[in-house]
Amino acid sequence: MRAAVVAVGIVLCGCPGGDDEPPPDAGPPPCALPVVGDPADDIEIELVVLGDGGALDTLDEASPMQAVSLFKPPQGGRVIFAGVRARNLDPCGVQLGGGLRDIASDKIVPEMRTVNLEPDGQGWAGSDPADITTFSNIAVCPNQWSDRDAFELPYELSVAVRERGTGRTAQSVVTAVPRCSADVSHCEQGDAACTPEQLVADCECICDVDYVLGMNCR
Amino acid sequence: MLRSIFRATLFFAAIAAAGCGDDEPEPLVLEPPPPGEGFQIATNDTVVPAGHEYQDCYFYKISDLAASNGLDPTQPVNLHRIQIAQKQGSHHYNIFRVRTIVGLDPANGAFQHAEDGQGECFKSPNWADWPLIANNQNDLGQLDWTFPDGVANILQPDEWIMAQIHYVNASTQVTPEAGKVYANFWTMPADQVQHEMGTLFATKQSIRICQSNPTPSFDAGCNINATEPVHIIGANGHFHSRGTQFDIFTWDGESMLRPDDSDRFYQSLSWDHPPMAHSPELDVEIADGGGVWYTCGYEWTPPPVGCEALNTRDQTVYMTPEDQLDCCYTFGGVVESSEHCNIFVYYYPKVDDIACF
Repeated sequence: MRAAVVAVGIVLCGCPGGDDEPPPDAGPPPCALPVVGDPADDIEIELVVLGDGGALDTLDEASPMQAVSLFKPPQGGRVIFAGVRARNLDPCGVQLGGGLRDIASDKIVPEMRTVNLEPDGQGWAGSDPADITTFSNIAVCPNQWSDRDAFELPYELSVAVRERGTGRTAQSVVTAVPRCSADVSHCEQGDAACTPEQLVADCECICDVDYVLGMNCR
Repeated sequence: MLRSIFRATLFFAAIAAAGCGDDEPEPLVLEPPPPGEGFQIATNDTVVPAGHEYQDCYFYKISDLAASNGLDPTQPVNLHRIQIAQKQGSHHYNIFRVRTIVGLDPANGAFQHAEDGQGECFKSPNWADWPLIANNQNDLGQLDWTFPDGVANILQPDEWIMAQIHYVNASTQVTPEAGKVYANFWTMPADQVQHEMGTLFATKQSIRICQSNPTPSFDAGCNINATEPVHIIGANGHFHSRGTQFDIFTWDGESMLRPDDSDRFYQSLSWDHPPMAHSPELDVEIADGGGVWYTCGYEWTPPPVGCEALNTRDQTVYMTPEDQLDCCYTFGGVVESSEHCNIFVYYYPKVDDIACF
């Protein structure tokens, strides 16, 4: 279900060069993606997350306790890949921010990046499930930030976008339950220790509230 | 204090001699601490062929190092001052505590070599949970840092540490003569230790700097999770030649917004000579519950290795479909063809050593 548009007060900050056109002598072809929807209308977004098996799951602001997968990214640890489907905006150079908030302590893990959203041909553009860099990579674990276990408990998950040039923003917030994924598709190639069972066991160790960096999880 | 009694002599003649025609470069020398005051580690003299990048991992056991220069090998080493001297071409020098063994194991040798992105010493997941001890990112670099009075990074006798050196002799950086790094660990007596130092290492690996998205930035916040205020006393950032601006801010731990410029305590505009900010000039208080926020800004430039090489790597490493190839620099240790976005932060009093990625 599509989340309501939130004309939020949140203004994702500008970034070095983020609002700038490419330098004239830089050579690269500019992003040529077309505007999706009507730029005269408010930006609309849906919060999507990468699910097991490469699925793109849309989360509903009105539904409580939606499970979201904690994946092992290339660098280790566990992340939520949180992205958007959006329309009524220029999909080039969008600032995409995501965060997971501990509703008990109000602490948050934020991540923000500049992305080109991929048009779907149906008037929307969004994060591409084939490219994890088009999602906010929210680094949930090692859990050295929350006052609670970072899995199987409800957290607040949010994403926000800021359009290049205009600075227009939209945000979506849901209640979500991070869940350790057994999906090995994000493991590094050749990692023999990356089995479904081990993935979950390691995840529940490093996402535990009592985790200390470097402790033996096996 | 140790720092008022002993001053090691640094001769960065090799640096000064760079570009001096036929003059024979003088050797880089860092005098070791006197017996009982600390110890020194050093890399091999390393000649890097043109067009290549070497990354070498050196392993040491703390008790062995302590015993090597008159310290009690049964007692913790209270690191209070760190000196690092390195010759040109040394892209980075990082020292970590060894923790979970994945592909890098001190049992496989005290010296483990890797080249051009291949080998266990190039694979960052191998040290994903190894806490930071010290680092230097400046390829003409020297570091001489005495921690604040009473502050020490405490290393246990049975701990292994790993010192990693990365040499680049290619188009973005050169190693004109044999690479070499020295590091001095200066200790302080246990009865003078008032605060243990903690460290924070953060890295972003899902990054992409592409032709059609040529000026991206990547931000993240890292919580220190302290229940009392902590002091940031050291920081630096690390990216490669597409990096244009690296900022680190104090952060309240609750906001999704990039902090104001007034909260910035570190900035690097020089990818190959990033400053190392440290005490006494740097001493920033972080409120309890807070942390740091960092930002890496990039500008795409034509790759010295060509777009085909980047696209091939993108396909083989990240399985990127043909229609999405965009001459992208992605995460990797090879300077010529990949990018980094790393921060190194030092603080006290210690809550835990922190990995944020």
